[in-house]
Amino acid sequence: MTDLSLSGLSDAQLLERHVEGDPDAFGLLFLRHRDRLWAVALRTLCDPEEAADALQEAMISAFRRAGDFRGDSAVTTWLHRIVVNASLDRLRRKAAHAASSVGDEGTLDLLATQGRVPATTDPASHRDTTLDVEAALRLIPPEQRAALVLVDMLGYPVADAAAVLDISVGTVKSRCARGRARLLPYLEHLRGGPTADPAAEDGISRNRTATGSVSPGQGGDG
Amino acid sequence: MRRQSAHVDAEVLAELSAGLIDGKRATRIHAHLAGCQRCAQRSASLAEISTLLTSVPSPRMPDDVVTRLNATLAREAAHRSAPATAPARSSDQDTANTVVEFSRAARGRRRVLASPVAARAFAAAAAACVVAAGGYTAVQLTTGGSSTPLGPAAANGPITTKHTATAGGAARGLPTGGVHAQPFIPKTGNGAGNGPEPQLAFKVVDSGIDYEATSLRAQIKTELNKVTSSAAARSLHIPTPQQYACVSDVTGGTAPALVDKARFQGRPATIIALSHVGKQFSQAWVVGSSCSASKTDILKYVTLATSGG
Repeated sequence: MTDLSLSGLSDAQLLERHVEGDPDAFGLLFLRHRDRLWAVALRTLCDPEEAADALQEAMISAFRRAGDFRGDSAVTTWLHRIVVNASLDRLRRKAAHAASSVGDEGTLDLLATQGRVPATTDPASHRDTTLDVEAALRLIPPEQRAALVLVDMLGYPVADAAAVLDISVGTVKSRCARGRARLLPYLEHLRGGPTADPAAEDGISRNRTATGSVSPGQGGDG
Repeated sequence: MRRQSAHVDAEVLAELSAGLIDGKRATRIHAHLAGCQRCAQRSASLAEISTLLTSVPSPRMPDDVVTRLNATLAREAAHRSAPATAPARSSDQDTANTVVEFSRAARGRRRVLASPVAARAFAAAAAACVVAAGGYTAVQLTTGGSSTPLGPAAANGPITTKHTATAGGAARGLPTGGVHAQPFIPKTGNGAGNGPEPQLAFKVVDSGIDYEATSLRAQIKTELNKVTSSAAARSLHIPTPQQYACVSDVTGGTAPALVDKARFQGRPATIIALSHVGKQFSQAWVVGSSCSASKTDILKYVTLATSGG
């Protein structure tokens, strides 16, 4: 369906074609990046339906506002930014609604039901890990979550994440750090055991399927 | 083990790891970590959090979302190439608003006024925009009474008729989404006619059914099937101008397969569904009773899987 002559073009060239009126250019751009944009929306919103709605809003917005793109960032950065903004905006609206009806009790319920998804019966199964991480991510502030999604989950360089979020590199680092600290009590059991007992010291790599490598910059020894 | 000052909390450890703490404070914390098993452990756990997050696989976009978004983009592309857009009368300042605000406007999934950006960007559509602008003038004349006559439309007869002809001609069979500035277009007014078919020829069912959120998809499918199987047995109404404007705005100019004046969760509402002829995708909206061109009042939007039977 997509015009083959477009496929060799860069993102920026595609966007240019789109602005010039090419009916297929934006579709191809979307095709290239949709999975990552989906991951961003889904992980930020923690809800597939919300994510689909946010992404639809974002893509309509990007489609129509392509003429505003000035080329001072990568096209992908621009697309990500629109998706993140649409997602966070959705959360803010929801929070505003919830605040008037539910209040803190809702949060507490959430904590009670989702804060500790049992992972003890089938330790370190990949699926359980995913579920636990997803559940835990819901419990941290959206801005911290968005930063962690970009940096830790999708592996974007901090500078790229900063451009997407339109904040400084330092702020990205700070949000990630605080987010990780917040996640710690919810996810600690995945590596050490069900409790946060500091005595459980030697289980670090045993329960984890990962290779034990530590992300760059995350070493505790500075 | 040396005795140290108070334990370091997780946030500080995380900030230290992220390189956000330096100088004497960093030295002090490192010194503490060297002698405190508990804090060293916590620091290691924190590092693991990142690893854990990285290990979670990124989901691919599900097929139904792909389909939906492709349909959205196709509709956008169709709108864009449709010349009958509203004139670019809002200022650039309006479009300089944040994405957040823009998406709020687009949230109802209805067509918003064609942006100046679009108008600027597509020089190819410039000629057609003039036609649309003519139509807009006619609207102004209609509402503005004795303005200066700017064209033949103002000279004689009911202006709306003239305008209808203009808008229909501009439409050329393509979706005429910019209904904000357009009056009711009768379904006979399909103009210049190199388009595929008359736009938005539809009638309204008055089923009185109370659609429920939980069974909405199934109920809509049932009604859609009735439309295709036994249309004759139903009483159909010609849409009111308000219904027409509402539907054309909601669907973005695509002719609906079903417009049912009914109820939703006990409230008066209208169900608008697109057919899935030729395409693998169908969608439906529930709109409130106040739906019009200027306010679509969308209560619910659903996509309908077409394969399910």
